[in-house]
Amino acid sequence: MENCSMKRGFFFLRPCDHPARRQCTLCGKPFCDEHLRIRPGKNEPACLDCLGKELQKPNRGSDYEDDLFDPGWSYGYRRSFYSGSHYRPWYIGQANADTSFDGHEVRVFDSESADDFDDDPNAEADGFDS
Amino acid sequence: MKLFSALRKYFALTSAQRQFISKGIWACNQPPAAIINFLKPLAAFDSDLDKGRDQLMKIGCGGLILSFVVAIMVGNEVIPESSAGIAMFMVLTLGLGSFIARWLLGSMDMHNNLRMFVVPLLNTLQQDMAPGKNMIFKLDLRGKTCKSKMISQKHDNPGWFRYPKLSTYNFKDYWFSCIAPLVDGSTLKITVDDKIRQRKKTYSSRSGKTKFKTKIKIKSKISASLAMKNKTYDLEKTGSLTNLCDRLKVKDKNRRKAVGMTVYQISTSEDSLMEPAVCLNLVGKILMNAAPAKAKGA
Repeated sequence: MENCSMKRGFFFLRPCDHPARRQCTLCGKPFCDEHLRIRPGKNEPACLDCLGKELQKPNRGSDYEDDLFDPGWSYGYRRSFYSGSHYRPWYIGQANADTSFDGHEVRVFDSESADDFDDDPNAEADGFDS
Repeated sequence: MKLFSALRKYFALTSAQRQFISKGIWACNQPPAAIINFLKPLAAFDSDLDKGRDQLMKIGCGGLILSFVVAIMVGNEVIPESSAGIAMFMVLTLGLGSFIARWLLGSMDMHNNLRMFVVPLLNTLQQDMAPGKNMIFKLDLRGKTCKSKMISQKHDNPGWFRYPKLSTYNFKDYWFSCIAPLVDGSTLKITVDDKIRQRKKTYSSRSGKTKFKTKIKIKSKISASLAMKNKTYDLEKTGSLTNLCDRLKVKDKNRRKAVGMTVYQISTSEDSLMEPAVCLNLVGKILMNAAPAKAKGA
């Protein structure tokens, strides 16, 4: 079964490893249940990326405020964040030649340093002033 | 009507959520999804409550205008005297009742930073949190000028019926903080602290009238720190971040380097809103400055 096409994350993008369930009616790609929602006003599934794009449209008027606490908001907002702040997200996962995100360049960790991500059990206590 | 929607949402809240509305303070160490699930219904309720209170204000104004119209109609004998009392009672009840209901609901109103800053920010940070890890979270929306937050006060009082009288109150409001382990092994800490100076002035105008004026100045300190692993990141060029913030703090440890950036914002209203983008930009700048650590032996 095909995996979900969504790239999770905001500062760190990584592929979603859940199996895809249905296709997004807007972009046509397959997504898992976590990354699909029913489009408001239409009985069709759409991925959070496509919904996020719709939420970011400036002419949404007073509805916009309620969208701020919708999960789709951060998926839509990351695009404008990357463009506005020139942020290049880190990519965690198997990198290949076309590893990019919607035209935004990504940065890739060395496979060796990526293996070290989870080796520190006391990460929370480390580094900050007490 | 949004008011009914707000009431419906209020009655669907858990007792802990209702307690947050009345107390305004909450701290926890929970997975981000649990924190968001706790705050989202509150944000939705607050959004509807604000809209409902706006509607009540309009209804109240409409009721008062209508009472004038009814009074004129009664004066002109358009409405018979027998039903004039009932008509006046109804429009006045509508007008005054709306104002009273609006005022009573004010005690349930939370600062809009909850839905405009906290929930969107947590929504975004949740995307990058290490799976299965908890977030240490603290939120205090009791109000920036509540008595327990006062750190000093000064009164300049020249005496009875002598003006100007000036009272200055200083407050410190540590209202938002979160510590989150990220998916790359770094630990992120975001804090927002406000320093508030409130000035109350009583003075007499040229015409001899006694007037009161209250001014408030809020200096918000927004800090984002990332404790990043030396194994993962090369953070040699942190100095270039100095120009991108008001204050840069770098702390070196054996296994991690903590980079903290701080910016200050000034506002003149207690209702001023914080933008999630301010915090996200700081984190983005720290991460943009980091390069991947060189492979061993390279």
